[in-house]
Amino acid sequence: MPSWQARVMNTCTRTLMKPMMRFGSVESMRAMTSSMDGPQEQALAEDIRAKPVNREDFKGEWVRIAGKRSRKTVLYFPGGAFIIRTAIQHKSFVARICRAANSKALIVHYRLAPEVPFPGGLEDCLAAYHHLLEQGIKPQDITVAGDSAGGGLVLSTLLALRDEGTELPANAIVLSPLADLTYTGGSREFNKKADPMLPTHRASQMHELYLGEASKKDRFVSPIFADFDGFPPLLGMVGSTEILLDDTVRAAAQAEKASVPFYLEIWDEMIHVFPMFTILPESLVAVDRIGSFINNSELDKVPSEYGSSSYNPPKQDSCKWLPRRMLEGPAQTL
Amino acid sequence: MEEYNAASNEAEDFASFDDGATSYSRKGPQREAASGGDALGEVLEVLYSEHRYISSLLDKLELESAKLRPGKIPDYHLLLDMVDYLIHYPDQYHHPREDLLYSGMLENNTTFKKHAERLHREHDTLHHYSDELYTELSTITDGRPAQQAELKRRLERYIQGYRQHIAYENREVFPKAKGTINKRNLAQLQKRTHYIDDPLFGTEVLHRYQRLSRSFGAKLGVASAELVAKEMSGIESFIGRLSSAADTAQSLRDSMGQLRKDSWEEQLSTLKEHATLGKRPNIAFLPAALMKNHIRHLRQGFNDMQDILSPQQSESGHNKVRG
Repeated sequence: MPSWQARVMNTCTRTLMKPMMRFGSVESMRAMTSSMDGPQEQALAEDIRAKPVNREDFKGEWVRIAGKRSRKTVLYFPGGAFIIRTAIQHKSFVARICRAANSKALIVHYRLAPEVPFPGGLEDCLAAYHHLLEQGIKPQDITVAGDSAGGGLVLSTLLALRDEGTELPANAIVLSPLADLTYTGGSREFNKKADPMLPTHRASQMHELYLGEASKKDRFVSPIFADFDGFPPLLGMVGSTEILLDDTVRAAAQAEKASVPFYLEIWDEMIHVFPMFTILPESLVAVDRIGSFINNSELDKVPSEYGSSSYNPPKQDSCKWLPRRMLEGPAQTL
Repeated sequence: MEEYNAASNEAEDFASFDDGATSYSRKGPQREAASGGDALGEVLEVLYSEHRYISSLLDKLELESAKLRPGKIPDYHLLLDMVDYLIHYPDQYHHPREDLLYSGMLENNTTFKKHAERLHREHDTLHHYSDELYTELSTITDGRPAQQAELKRRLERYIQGYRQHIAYENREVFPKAKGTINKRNLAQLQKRTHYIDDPLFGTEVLHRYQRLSRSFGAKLGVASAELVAKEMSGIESFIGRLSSAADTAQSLRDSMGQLRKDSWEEQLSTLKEHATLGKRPNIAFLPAALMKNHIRHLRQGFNDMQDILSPQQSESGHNKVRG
């Protein structure tokens, strides 16, 4: 059962935001998100420190909490349907993750469509990961995370890194990832009305802008169809009424096929990328869990009042890099 | 004689590897031969042009395979489409046609044996490489992990091998065909060569290769722009000739009207003259005279039209006049 705050929020977004997303143009949606930047900027906690990164191969922003020195680094790919940037909202959210995980983070402001279609944005994400390695940060101290379109980019980045033979990060987090641009997930149909935020048909039009000449079945466009062999442990969070529910569920299934540990969390009636919204009690719990996962690559069950979770345990022979305690069989396995 | 027989046997051996296979041509050179054109020249021209197409595809393949490195996103589907084309067109139609040509060359020239053996071996190797790449790229596009470094090495080997093969054929083999291939060889080649449109570079792009074709966009855009310019200039000159013909026709009509008028006046003045001299006017003669004038003017008009529509003939006609 979702909190009353979540129910109010669902009603508001269903009434106000969903119609706008259904009919708004790229420009109007960009204008809407940038109009929220001012108030969001003022609401940022005072101890958040940010430093822009302006490199030729990618743009981004370092975020850390003042007075904290951390070994862990989160490489974060923000969402926005590949066409919108919500820099301030994401800065605030990523700072919360940094606080929960005692880490610093590099947010990648990858190039957006339609100005730069696929694979421009993904190449920026790859460049950012290589930049972290060049900075001397060890892969085992890196978590790659992202939400929505950024969640899809997380999976695509892992695929690309694995294929090119680069050492993969310690773990990865996908929040309501957009991982299938062929739209074959059943939830696109059965959650069409239930989803409080995302309209189905409009989303596909937006994604066409990102695709350019690429094939929808390209492994880097729809990573859901690729083999996850060799991936690090993953955490996936999604709302039960999202049209993107099946993208996360199928990512978990792909991970299971490849014997990759995947913590799948389905939160009851939660809005798209709900951990971003501090107004929701569920968000606070979720961010704490994200923090734990970054540090330990393992989690307890989702509290039953919030939803359900499942976990596919790794196989001994295929996951030698995991902590021994996970290989011995975690208690939270469902 | 013995040497000739030996050469024939070798030719048969060489040809036997694709025995019974039918080779296809994009342009159908046999049609040119039937019209009395240079049949061998046409065959070679088709092979040369296919080499140019394959070379441009190899350039594209090289460009895409260069993305098989850290930080870059290769388009595996596009790579697969390219290899698929190379398997389904050059390997099945272009190379067998070349092999038919080489068997003819070997039949008439024993010294060609070492070339023939090498070319045969290279065709086999290229076919093997392309099959290998096709299998690997298919599994990758099906989702299996890619070994980028290994794939890149294989692609580079394939591209380099193909380029060397094409260069060797262009430089060493095709020029030798002239003077070696006889009419019987050509007839055999034409018998076993049928028309097929190139599925990528031909007039109609196969659905499977449409994305690949679009990826050539800029290059083809330039080519088609040139083609359009050529076509347009042809159309313009045709329109120009038509309009000058129309002008001539108009001026002919005017002049014929004037001539007819003159002719009438001439006839009338004759009548008047006859009347003045007290002679009986020959009225029966009048329509025949008019018709004769009319036919003369029409013939003159047709000749003018012919000159206008056939500039060369017109020029020679003018030269004749000048001469």
